[in-house]
Formats: sequence, C-alpha cells, structure tokens
Amino acid sequence: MSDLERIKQIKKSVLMTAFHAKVGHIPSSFSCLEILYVLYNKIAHIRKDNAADLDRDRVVISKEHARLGQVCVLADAGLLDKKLLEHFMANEDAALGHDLYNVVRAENKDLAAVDVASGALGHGLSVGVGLAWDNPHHVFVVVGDAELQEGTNWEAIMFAGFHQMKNLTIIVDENSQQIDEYTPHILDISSNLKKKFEVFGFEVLECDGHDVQALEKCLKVQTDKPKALIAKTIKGKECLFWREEVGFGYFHAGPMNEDQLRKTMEKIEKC
Amino acid sequence: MLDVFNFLFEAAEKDENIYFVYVDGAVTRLFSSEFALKHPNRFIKVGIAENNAVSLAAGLAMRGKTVYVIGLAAYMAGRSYEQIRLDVAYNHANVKIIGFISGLSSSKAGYSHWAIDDVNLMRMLPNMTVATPGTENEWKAVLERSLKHKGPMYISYNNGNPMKLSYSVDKSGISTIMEGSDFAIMSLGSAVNEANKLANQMIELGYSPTLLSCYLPKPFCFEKIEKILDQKMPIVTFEEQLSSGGVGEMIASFMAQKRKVVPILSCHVEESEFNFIGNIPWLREKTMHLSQVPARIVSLIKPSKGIVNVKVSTDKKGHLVQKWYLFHIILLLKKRRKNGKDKRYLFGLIRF
Repeated sequence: MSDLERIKQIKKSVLMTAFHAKVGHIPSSFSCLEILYVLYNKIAHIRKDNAADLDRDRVVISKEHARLGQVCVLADAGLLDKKLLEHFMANEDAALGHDLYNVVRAENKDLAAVDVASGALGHGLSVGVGLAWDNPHHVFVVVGDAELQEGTNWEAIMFAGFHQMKNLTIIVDENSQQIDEYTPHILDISSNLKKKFEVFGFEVLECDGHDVQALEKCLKVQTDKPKALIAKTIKGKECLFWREEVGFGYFHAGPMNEDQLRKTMEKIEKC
Repeated sequence: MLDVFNFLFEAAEKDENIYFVYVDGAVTRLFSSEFALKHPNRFIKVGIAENNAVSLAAGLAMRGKTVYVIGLAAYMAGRSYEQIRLDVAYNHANVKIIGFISGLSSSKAGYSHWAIDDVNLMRMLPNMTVATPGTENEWKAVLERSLKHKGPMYISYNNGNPMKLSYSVDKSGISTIMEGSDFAIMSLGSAVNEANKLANQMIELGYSPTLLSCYLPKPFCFEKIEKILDQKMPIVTFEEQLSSGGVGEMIASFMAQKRKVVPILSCHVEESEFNFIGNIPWLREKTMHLSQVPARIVSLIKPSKGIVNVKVSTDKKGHLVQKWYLFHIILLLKKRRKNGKDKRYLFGLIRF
C-alpha cells in the first residue's frame, strides 16, 4: 500500500476511534499525522522487537492533543494492537487517553512504543532533552507552534542549543492555530520562528508538513547541531467546513456528529 | 455563566483599574466579548502561558490594579503554584485567579486535566481567600465579593455544568440549601450537584438531611460547623478533591481540637494511581464510590435508630468481591412526622 493510501486509512481510523469514544481533538491529530507517520515508519528505529528496550530512538509527542493520531499511526505501523483503539477514552481502567497512563513502566508491553505520557503542554521538550542527554540514540520531539508559548520550552531549547545536542530533533507542527483563535491573534510565536531557533544554536529546516517525501528528506539531514524542523501544516484541512459550523473552541476539542463524520470521510477519500 | 461575567465587565467599564489576564484554553469565549474587543489593553491575552500570566498579573497589581487571571483550574493552581505562592499570595497582590473546569469536570481528558488538588493547594497559601462556588448564584456572589476584597483570591468554578438551585447565599461562606435533623452534608464546588442528588436520595429513604454548600473554604466559617457539632449531627463532607488538605480533613481536625466529636464520613476523590479514564458519572463512581454513600451514611447514623449496619466489601479495584449481586435489606425507621403520631416502619431494598 502506498504512503498516501495508508495515511488515508489512518485518518479514517482516527475518525472512527474518536466517534466511537465520543471525543474530539480530531483536527489536532490530522495536523501532524504525516509527521508522525514519517517518524514511526521511516525515521525512528522503533520496531516491535525493540519497543520495550530502554536504549532505542525515542519519539515524544508533546502536543498531547495529537494522542489520538499517535495511537492510530502506531496501530497502522504494527507497534500497537489495533484492538486497543476500541478502548480509547473508554470508561475503564488503563484506557488509552491523553495521558496514556503507565507508558514508562517496563511491564506495560502494549504501550511500549509510546515514550512519554503528557497531558499538559510544554513538558515534552524538557523530557526529550533528558532522554537525549548522554545518549547515542536519536530523540524526536513533536511540539505545536502555540505550545511554544509555554516558557519551559525555551528553557529546554536554550539548554539543548548550549550543549549542542545533535541527537535531538524538534519538529514544530506549525498550524498557526490554538484552541481559541489563530495563534498570531493571541501571541504570535510563528513569525521569525526560524531565527529564534537559530540564535539558540539550532540547525533549522522548513518544509510542508503534509508532504511525506519532504518530511523524510528533512529529517534525514545529518547535522552537528540540534535540529529544528518547522513543518507548515493546516489544522484539520479535511474538515475545515466543521470549523465554520462550530467555531474554534469546539473544532479543537469537541466530538463530531454522524453527518460531519460522513462529510469528512468523503473529503479524505477525495484527497 | 458568561452573563454573570458581564457584571464584572460592567464594573470594569466603570473602574479603569480592573484588568483581565486571559490564558488560552479556558473554553469560555470571553476573549471575544464586547469588553475584550473594546479594551484590548485591559483584556490581556497571554496565550498558553500560565506562569507568565500570574506573575504579570502580580506586576499589574503592584501598580494598584485589580487583576483577574482566567484559566484552567488544573493548570492555574498546579503549574503556576510558585508564581501564586510568591508573587501573588506572599506579596498580598490584588490578583483574583479564576480556575475554570474544576474537579473531575474535564473527565475524559485524564488525570493531567483534573483539578482534584487545586483548592487544597491554594488553601495552604498565606493571605489567600479560596472560593468554590457550586451554583450560579454563589458564583455571582463570589465575584461581587472579589470586587470588594483587596488581596489574593482563588476561585474554582465548574463552568461546564453550572447548577441552578435557588437558595439564598449566606455571607458567612457556608450556604444552607436544605435543613434537616439527621445528618449534615457539607459539599463544595463541583460536588454540590451530586450532594444535592444524594440529599434527595436520602429524603426518599426517609431521612432528613441538612445540605450545606461551603463556597468559601478559606477563610472557613468554623462557627457554623460548631453549631452542627453542638446538635450532635453526623457530618458527611463531599468534595471533588483529594483528601489531603481537604475540607473533610479540616473538619475532622477541628472536631478533635474542640473535643466535640461526631461521626464523620469524608467523600472525596480517593488517592490511587489514576490509571483510568472515563466520563464524569463513571469517574465519580470510580473515585468517590457514590453508589455506596447512602449505605455508608445509614451506618453512620446511630444504630439505636433501628438501622442495620451495612458493610460492602470490595477488592483493590473497587469491584464487589462477591460473585452475585447482594441484596441488603435495611430496616429503616421512618422519621416521626411533625405531629409525632405517625410512626411508620419502612423496608428499603438497596441493590449493589
């Protein structure tokens, strides 16, 4: 199956999982779906047989609202049992959710491929720096652009730049949107983001965040510095009609109804 | 909820010293209100940056402003704890922090989003006034109070599912929703709704509960508690918070200090590994064992009233150990009616 076809299937499983669990965060998941797909399938050396190892590449999803996308990508890549998706945000013990309880515990083999459970923004980058410290393996951290408004990110960026941690790659899912509004209307973090990373000692690359080949090419670039990839994306481009119907806040976090689901399915099919 | 907020905006229209600092994600649409659009310099959108929001507000307050910080309860109290502790509480800054989506209200978002320790954390801070309005009228009363009060204040509120009960808000900080003689339920914040259901359930079973909404956990009105202790009424505390530092603990220690001890049942979010996710009713049952509470209250009230003590044993996960559903027949002594003539006995059937 081609990459495009697989991504279509993942998007459908994101929709169905969310619909089944009556939860939202679909556009956030779609926004970085290609990034996650490329990371887990083409870049990071995470396989089923080494998933439970402590020493392997790591992928930290700091923008926790994309958790739904992450578990669906993992299920597609064979790193997570597809049956677990039925338990996404269900009323039960050890259900999958934002927080993905217990992922760091070695005994939890089912979720071994998930590296960090983070339900609040602005934690993943610092945790990623800790994972990358004194480590021959590579650490990839996916952050949202609006998430960079949290100050802790810049403490981590300063640290990684100062120590020239070349095994750290930050991928910014730059969709210029946050729950309430367009990011530049609230606190513009996106403008000059390239320069901001550069002055902290990062090698900065930019590409289209929905282009699988471009993402792969950028992520394979070897550097002696920590790397930041600014991936320009459109949040929920498959269901923008929905934002017009319900507004920003609900679009970000709310669940879809059957009609909206059907429409989005059709749009994905046409892509 | 927003209507009530309009009253704050009206006050701000008149008083140029009132500022708002808005953290992204409180899902209130307040930022697109008329006031916010008209006065962008006094409605400051800081983005996803709780720490900056709180310290910035403290800075404004140090210039004589009254500042409202609006954000999510779980993050305001937890993430910005040190900023609140030093810049706001210790400096006695005139900052009112409003934490929305209190208690377990953010349900499926998981432990990271649950505000189950915010009230307890804030109660520990010097100079801090802590408010937990449970209903819309209390919410309004608290906001009115916040305008008059000079000093730090933390207000946690469940804006997702506000309760519309009509009762007069007592200025002491503890409102009486219903008055009875068998036991007193002391509820706060997002738990008032459930406490009200529980009280009605107990009335159906033939009991006469007093239901209180403690919307001001700090400074706490101990005089009112002392009155209940003098009446020798058992106390049931009801809070969507962890027990450590909670109101249940506070009342228990107050009783011990005063040497006026009555039976107490603390219903709170039980400490656990929180390795679960679910919708609100499911979560409340899982963490607070609500279905067991009526039976536990029955066992709390004196056995001399003719009540059989019911014990329900559960395993570590909270499931019933017994394979079969248990039927406990509780002999309930119907309270004497007002004229004292009608002494009926009722047989109640409780299914677990």
